[in-house]
Amino acid sequence: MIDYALAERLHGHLAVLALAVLLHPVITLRTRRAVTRGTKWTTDLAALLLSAPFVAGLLLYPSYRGEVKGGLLASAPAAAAAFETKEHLAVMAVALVIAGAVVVRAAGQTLEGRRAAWALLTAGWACGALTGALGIWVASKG
Amino acid sequence: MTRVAAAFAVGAVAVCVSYAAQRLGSAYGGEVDARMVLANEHIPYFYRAALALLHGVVVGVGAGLAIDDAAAVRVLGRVPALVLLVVVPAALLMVAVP
Repeated sequence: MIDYALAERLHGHLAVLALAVLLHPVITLRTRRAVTRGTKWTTDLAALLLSAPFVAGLLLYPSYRGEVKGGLLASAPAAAAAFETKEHLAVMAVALVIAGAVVVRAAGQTLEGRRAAWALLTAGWACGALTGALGIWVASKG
Repeated sequence: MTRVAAAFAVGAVAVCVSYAAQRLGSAYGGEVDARMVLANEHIPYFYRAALALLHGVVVGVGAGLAIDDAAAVRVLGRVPALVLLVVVPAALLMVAVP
């Protein structure tokens, strides 16, 4: 039996931490003319930190469907729908942030590479932030 | 290395497009009613995510093999527009279609 309260908190807190770390490259890729070592490290760290709760979410999802979703659909159908929206956006956020991290490492020395990385990471951050907001709202209903 | 960057960037866009297309296709074509969750062993989310990843890998590897470094820089230059015109609308559609 999974302790959903604990798993949900770990999942959410890791994701929030990842989004906070991700703000560093999102800002510095726009404000600095070159990619610093710090930007590379925070981008890598953010990609890792965002991937961890995503994988945890994938592992929890089947149990959630079996043990929680039915009750949530009965008591708060809008929250159950928002949960699925959150999952869609999470897939996009992880794909964008991992790609952004690779672009920073592999092409951060070019202007085109920095702009591409910024676009990918910013879109990933926005998807992640929306995912987090939906997650908080769903948790408040669960 | 620029080709690797372009391949990942294009692959990530492909993941987003593939996932959104699959979800919208399911919404349009009909998916098992969410209220049947307990009777439905198929987990559409996993299939969508796995297929989107496969599409991203195929498109990314294909792009990486098909272009040289000069073309990769041009591809990277178009990524911000791709994100704005393709990924952002796809994400907004995902908000509209749970």
